[in-house]
Amino acid sequence: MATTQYETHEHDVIIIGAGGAGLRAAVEAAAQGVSVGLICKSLLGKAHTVMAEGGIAAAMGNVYPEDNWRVHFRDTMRGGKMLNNWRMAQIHAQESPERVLELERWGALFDRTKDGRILQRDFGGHRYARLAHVGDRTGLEMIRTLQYHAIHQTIDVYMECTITRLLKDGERVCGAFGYWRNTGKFVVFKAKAIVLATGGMGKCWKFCTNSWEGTGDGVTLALDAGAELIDMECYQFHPTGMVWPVSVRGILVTEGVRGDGGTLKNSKGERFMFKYIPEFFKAETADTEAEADRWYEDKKNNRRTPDLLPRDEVARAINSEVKAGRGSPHGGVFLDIASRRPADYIRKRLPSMCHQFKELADVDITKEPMEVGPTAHYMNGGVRVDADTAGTAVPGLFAAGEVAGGLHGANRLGGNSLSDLVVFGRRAGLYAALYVKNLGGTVTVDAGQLEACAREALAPLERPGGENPYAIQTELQETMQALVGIIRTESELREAVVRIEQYKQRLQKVGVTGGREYNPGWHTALDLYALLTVSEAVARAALDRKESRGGHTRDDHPKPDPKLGAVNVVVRRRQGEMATALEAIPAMPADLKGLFEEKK
Amino acid sequence: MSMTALLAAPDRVVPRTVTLRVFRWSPGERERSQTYEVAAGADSTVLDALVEIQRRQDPTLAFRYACRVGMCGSCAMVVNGRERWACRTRLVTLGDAVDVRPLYHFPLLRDLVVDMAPFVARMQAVGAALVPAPGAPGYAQVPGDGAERRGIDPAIECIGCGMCVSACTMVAHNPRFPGPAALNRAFTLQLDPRDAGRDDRWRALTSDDALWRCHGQGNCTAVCPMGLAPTTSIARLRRMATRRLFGLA
Repeated sequence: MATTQYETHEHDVIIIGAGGAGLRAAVEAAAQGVSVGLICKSLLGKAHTVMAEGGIAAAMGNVYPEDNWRVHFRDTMRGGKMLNNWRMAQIHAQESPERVLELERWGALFDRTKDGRILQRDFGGHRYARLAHVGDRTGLEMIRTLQYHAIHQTIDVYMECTITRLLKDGERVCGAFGYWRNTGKFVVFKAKAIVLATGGMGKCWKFCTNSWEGTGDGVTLALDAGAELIDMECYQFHPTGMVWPVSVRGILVTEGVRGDGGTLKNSKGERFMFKYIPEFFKAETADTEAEADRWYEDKKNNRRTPDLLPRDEVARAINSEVKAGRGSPHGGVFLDIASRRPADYIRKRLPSMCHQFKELADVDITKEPMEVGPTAHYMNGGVRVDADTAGTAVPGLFAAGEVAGGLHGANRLGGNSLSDLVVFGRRAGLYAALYVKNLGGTVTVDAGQLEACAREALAPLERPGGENPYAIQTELQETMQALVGIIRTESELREAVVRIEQYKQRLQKVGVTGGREYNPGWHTALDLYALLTVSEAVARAALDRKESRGGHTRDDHPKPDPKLGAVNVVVRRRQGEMATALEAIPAMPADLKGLFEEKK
Repeated sequence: MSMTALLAAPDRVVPRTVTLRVFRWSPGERERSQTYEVAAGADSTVLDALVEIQRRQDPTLAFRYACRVGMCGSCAMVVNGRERWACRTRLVTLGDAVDVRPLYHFPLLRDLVVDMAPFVARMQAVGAALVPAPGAPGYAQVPGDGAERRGIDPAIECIGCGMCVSACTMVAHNPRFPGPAALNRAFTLQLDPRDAGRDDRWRALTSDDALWRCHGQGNCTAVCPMGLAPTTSIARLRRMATRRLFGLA
């Protein structure tokens, strides 16, 4: 049997990705008594989750007793412009409080109210203060808690291992093929079930908040294995990233700055967000500065500030201000908390932001405004999954966290990502384990598939005179930034598809030197396939959605179209080619529908 | 876009040329140092320079980074003789010649990349996970300004970068010594009122190779990029262990 040729590990369930979703899935699967392998591209604990800042959304009602899962559900759906998988949004809102408490049982310690309960902070699109947090380093606390918990369970961890292909036994998955980053040697994981928890694809754009890992691997693995993608066009641009220094352009500035009182201003000093309140949110948004300011102290009798409109609205507004010539010196707008809150308060609530701006830009945010602008942030769409089980269209393949689509619809609310990770990470781990227990017989790995994987991965090393992979990566990022950014049009999207096709041709000729041991050039050459695949999926899906909705804005179709609001754009691989289709979203049951008619 | 334009902020001082001497090694080869010249703006960091080299001069140069902004702790290395995070170390603070080598006290994998598996193993050895007490309530009501919280707060921001282990002379001397990061983690748990795993942890901590081995030189504290003080955590653990020994705790 050919598997003997490569180092081979066998598990009931393997989990690819060790951020919040992957760790939570691993812990759950292990608790079910199946054998679990956890594979991650980075070192354990360095996944992008560690960069999450503001908090984890859960309707615990600690600050506002009026809050409950129904309000959270409603906020999530409205924020997602009703494109969400309503069942996912329901499960998410119902289960996130328990997942937060569970993190505390495993050692996390969130910030506290005066009487010792978990404190919750305001964020965009959430009706009530809802985000449990640890200063502005919530992701660090979450990943550290899960990581320390996980390494004391019976889970085999495979660090710095990149998976290049999923293996199939007929229709179902049977394992994965990859390489060790440090030695470059190949490794095969035999498994009856696979959980994808690989995060997003921010690295397709020139300016993004993501760590280096966000190269769209999981989406590509799933697509090639026969799974479907949805809502890929609805990529989220976060309104506030750093705009300078150039080398850190795109790095996240947490929405918590605005939640804690910061306001957006243009070069004339105007709080411009009041000009950009959409009809959909007029009833619940303050239309004067005085009311907006009162809202921070008294949320019952005032409407929320437009600075905290959902992210898609704020990103578009900043984009318009800069285009109209009212931007800041480095091409963003100003975010001012210094003139509105005492220095001690800012240091206590936003320690990372203080540190980050001081060290990288020499800006003291307790004294001066920050300069911020939109940056590629989050994949709202992703692999299509069953809401309850996190299962994909491929038997044995599950997906959770950013790699999975559906929960967030056309636009994600801040704080709903960390809760997504633990709610659906747990479910993916649970249902993967149950799938394994119900599966009769064994799975067989086909030698021919392994040979094809190895040949494909070694090809760049056999072309030492070929093109530098970084050149293609850089050009792709420029193209996505220019043509598939916040504001899109048909002609530019078509141009992007043409260019991506050319990059795919050039990828066949890339070459690297320097052997297989920890060779970053080779790693980049292999990552490019995923980067190009997901970029193409976004561009093609964006062409099909001829309207503006959430993270997807079409200059040539500036309004939402109710007909398109009832469908997902679905991407599949058909005989090697990418194909898109519009498919109806299942109707929402009456009891959930009713929640949108009540005032509260 | 030119290299200069990439690295320099638009309105800052004229870029200058910085010479980086970088430690190189691959399995089967002899170690050497290689020199690169990079144009640096006022805000350029060591990481910017290394990325620039990797992208345009030498795609084989191996180093780790992930978040670019001091959150993940992946890019720890020894710069001009001292452990630093490359992403937050600005070149202007270093002079015209910059010497870069991998962390000490970890097995070398290639160039600036070391094997971090021993770091995880050290954490496991002291018991890094909170052990919830059976029948404990859903969550504890912990006042934000309570004594325990004040004790733990300064020690919980560890990002696992490994710089303290690299700077610790005792790690070099005794491979069984858990090192500053793991002992610091243990400290936060021994003080956590919700934890029920303290007795097991005390057994590991008071063995011959743990707490008592620290010489209190404070190198770990000097290099910690998060401003943590593992030396203080270790000293406090020792006091707690001593009191426990005499039945006072």
